[in-house]
Amino acid sequence: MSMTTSDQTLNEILNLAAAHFKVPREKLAPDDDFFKTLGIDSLQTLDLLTKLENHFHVELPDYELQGVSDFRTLASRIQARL
Amino acid sequence: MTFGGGFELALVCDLIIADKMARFCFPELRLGLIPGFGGIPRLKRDLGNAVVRDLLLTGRSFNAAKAQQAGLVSQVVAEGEALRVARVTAAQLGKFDRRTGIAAKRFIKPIPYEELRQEIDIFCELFTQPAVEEGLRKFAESKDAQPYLP
Repeated sequence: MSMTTSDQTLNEILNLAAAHFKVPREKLAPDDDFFKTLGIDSLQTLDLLTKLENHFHVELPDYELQGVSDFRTLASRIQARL
Repeated sequence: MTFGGGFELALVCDLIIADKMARFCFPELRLGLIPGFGGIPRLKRDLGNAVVRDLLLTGRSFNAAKAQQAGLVSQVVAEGEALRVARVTAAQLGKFDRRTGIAAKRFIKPIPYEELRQEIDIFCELFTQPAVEEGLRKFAESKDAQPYLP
């Protein structure tokens, strides 16, 4: 059974975010501030969280997102739950 | 997003049909308060205590799948389908004799009158504390990207 690597997780997150918020994938980079790049607010961040939880089949308490604003750190939070 | 009073409203209902993108949360602790409109007694009635403690003591939200797993939500449906499915489900409930349903609910959905009263008293007492005004002011004035987080 193969484990999902951090890079794979990061890539999947970027793909999901692009698709959900209808932003061209090539405009998203791992160290981007996702609030600015996606143009989303705190409630839309919860939508992203739900998408990620459903996709990765993990539970990520939203207090773990405190201070998280880039995709790479978000990926590490998800990876820690896989 | 079924947060705070919205969550309390959902807990009054007989069945919860959730959009797969729904989230549930009691953020009141983040503001120095507890839910004051029946949230805690109804959560206690409907869910396992560990889940209730997690929700109330961390102030976290959880998604529809978790809510169904915890026994809060009876159906999780595709995005945008919750209202339609809720109406179909309501129509199904409406087929049966109303008095029978009321009788059944006396057992399966008792109203925790005493605890509701206690919750209101505690809520009112907490609301007079300085921490609440400070919490509300911080929330209203916050420039944080995620002001709802503790």
